[in-house]
Amino acid sequence: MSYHQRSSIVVFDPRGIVDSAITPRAPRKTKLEGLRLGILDNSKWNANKLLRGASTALSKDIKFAAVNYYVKESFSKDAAPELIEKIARENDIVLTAIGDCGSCCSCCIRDAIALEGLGIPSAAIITTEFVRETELTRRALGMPDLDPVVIDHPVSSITQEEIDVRVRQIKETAQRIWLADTENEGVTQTRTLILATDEVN
Amino acid sequence: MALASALLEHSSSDIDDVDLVELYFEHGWTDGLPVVPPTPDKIDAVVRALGGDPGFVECKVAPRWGALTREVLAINMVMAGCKPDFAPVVRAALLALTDPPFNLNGVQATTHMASPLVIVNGPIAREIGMNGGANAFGSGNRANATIGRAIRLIMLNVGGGRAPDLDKCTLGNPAKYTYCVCENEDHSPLAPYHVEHGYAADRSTVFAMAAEAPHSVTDHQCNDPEGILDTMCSAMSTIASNTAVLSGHCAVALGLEHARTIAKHGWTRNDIKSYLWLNSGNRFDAISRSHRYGKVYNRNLPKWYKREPDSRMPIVESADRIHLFVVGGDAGRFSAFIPGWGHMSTPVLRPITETSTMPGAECADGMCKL
Repeated sequence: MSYHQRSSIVVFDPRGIVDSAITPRAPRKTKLEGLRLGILDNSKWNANKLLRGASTALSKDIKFAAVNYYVKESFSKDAAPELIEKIARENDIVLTAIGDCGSCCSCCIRDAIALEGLGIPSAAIITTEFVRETELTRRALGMPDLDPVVIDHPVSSITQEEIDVRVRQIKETAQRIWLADTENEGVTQTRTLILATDEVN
Repeated sequence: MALASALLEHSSSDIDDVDLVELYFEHGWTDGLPVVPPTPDKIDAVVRALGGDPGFVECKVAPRWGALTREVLAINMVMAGCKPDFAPVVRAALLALTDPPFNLNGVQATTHMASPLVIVNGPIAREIGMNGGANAFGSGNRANATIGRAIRLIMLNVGGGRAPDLDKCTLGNPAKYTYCVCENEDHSPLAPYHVEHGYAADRSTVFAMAAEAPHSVTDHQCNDPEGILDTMCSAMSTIASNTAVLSGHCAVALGLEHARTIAKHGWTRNDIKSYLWLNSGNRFDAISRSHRYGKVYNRNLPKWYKREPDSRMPIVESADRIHLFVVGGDAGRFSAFIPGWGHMSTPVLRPITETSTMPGAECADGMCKL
């Protein structure tokens, strides 16, 4: 960073720099059969119904070695580091929900990024209202490529039928996030470079 | 001094036409009000008040995790209209906000209307001319207004908490421009807040809590502690606040007339807080809406609360989670209840020191690596 002075005009950027080192996602899986699925419930309203529904739906098609369920202390806080480490030790892939409010969305993504950092492909479920926030959070944390599972907003006050619709959305997208997708690699690379240039001004 | 922060180019022909106030607007660096365009001299004066070393990172500000160097802190303070001697307060407030238990990431992102409430105690409030008296939460005092504004500008610019991107607040709240007062220690009949928490009276502190705006509590009738505090309990006992369903912390700003009446009866801070805690809250039946929308347990309330229809659900978990301050002018039988954001954020009280007590830049806010 530098400043520029020309005659009497100096303009100061009040934003401060962001250390925007890009961290790669965990290596993706080639198959889901036989893996241990970790479910991280953030304790928000209806997160448990969504996650249990998704777990049941996924287990119909995929024979997991185990499905482990965890609940974090507060939906608006990151999961405790000990919990993240325990989940990473006991599982091969993770599904977490629900990011349907500002702080819970941000923390879901942060949990997923922490798990990815420990080598666990992680799918964080957020709602349509929070797609943009998620994108910015992932940029700020240096993992812009970690796509979330996006389901319809809202979640906290919906019926069982509406939950079932969202469970179907989760089932499909989560598998795509855990599995390797070679077609996307080129696109990903370009986007990373653009974002890096943008953020380091 | 080596200024590290950026820069724009303007061709020499239009130099005279450049309106710096408009330029800061165009860059999206304001809170919606005009800012004071920073100059090297003004920035330098604030950096000196912070102890020099403009590149020193005081903390990183969520959710963008921008580095708050002393220079960037100074730039935002100048923009807000602060004087250099406000610097230790603004710095202490930011160190409180970036203390991990405060969960600034959540406070910035939440759809709720919470904003950090900052309350200053100790001699520095008097020295820099803060107002804890008449209209303390209102307009008109430079220190209150611009310290709060600098905190918000840093949350916006360095923290990136702008709506509708990273700040997802549904409605917002006027306290998201500025929300900083001091306790009226000179006229309070009670011990100051920071003394209650173990600080010597001649130390200065900042208290920060994620909070709603103050809700007025009117009581012109009662002339004893029980009556006045029952009125406060009425304001505390709504089921509409985050505090009711998410617990956490809340604050009470006791007006001078109310405080004097209560103190005349020999009540201490602990008596007041305990009475408020014991006599406020909601029935579980009200919180659960009689299970009309499905069986409710509410994991966000302490597990030791009994969940029978008639069980009393205290508004916060203990009397110590009611933060009591005496604020306001001599006249008027008014106080205020200030609900919090919920258990997701823990208020922080920290000393205001001349220089940072935090370790080096790498771990400035305790978040060495995200």
